[in-house]
Amino acid sequence: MRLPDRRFTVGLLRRALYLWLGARLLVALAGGGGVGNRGLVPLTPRGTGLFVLLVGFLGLLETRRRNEHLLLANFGVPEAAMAGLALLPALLAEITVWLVARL
Amino acid sequence: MASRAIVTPVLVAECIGKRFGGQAVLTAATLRAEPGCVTALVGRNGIGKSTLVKIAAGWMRPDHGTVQFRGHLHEHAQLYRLAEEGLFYLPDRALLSPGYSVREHLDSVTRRWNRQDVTEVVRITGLESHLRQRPAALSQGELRRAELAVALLRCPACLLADEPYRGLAPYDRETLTDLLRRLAKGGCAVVVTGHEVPTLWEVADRVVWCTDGTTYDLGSPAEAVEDWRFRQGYLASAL
Repeated sequence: MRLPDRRFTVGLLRRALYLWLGARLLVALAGGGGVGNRGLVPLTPRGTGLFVLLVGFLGLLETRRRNEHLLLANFGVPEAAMAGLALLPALLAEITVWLVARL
Repeated sequence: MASRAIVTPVLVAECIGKRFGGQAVLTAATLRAEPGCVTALVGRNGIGKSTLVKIAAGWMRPDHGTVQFRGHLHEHAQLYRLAEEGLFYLPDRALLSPGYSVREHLDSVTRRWNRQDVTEVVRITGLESHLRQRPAALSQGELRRAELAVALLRCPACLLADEPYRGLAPYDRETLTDLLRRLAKGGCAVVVTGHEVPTLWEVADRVVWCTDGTTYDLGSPAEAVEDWRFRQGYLASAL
């Protein structure tokens, strides 16, 4: 599967990371929804999965809003690759939070 | 009727049907794009021109029909696959990302397709002074030229441009016509849609009329105006 050009890949990952941060902040402000009461708490495994999917979906919507899905399709990049890039930062960040919380 | 050489089309979207809700927009429409030829796809508003172009580009799924591109039959054509094989789809709305400058878009094409002729493309599209600007800072005409620059740099085997002349000033129309003709001269199969009849007649080698869910290949623009059904059903007093 072809990935976007480096510039677009970095942009997609950066936006997905900001989306994850924003969504995480909202979850923390709303009271966690997870195992503890501290700010950046790990969610339940099921909650984590849904959360990552939600952030990935928002990332894909943002890509569409910016017309990049059509431009990148013209460069031979499937939307599945864009969805994967939109999911990746949230997934890695959630794993990191989970690992840090267990230290 | 003038005779035409038989040319193998690059793109054939055949017997395309598409319904939206309960309404059939296309029932048996066909679109052929031949190398070195500009095809104007015309028809009334809402008749299915854009739908047919989207389906031919693999950007929308038809209810029935097939898309053949460069000899490969695609039952479920997808733009990213066709793009790999040399298709470029210019939609009727903005194509460029608002987050990057014109230069960054062109650089991406250069890296992706290993092109060297970026300076020449910038010159012929007249974008020298706009390279650092993002799409939001460009006028409609400049934006179209920037999109065409991306397409030119790609050197596609087939360009599908949906309403490229919409909202353009006469100067930009002329520039766009020159660019489309240049692409065709280089062997690209070009399809344009629109309602700007005098401009389309100037750029087109062939006219295809989309009406009643199907399409009619009317031949050259001169032959098309001789067709009384076309004159009555679409042209009216446009020419």
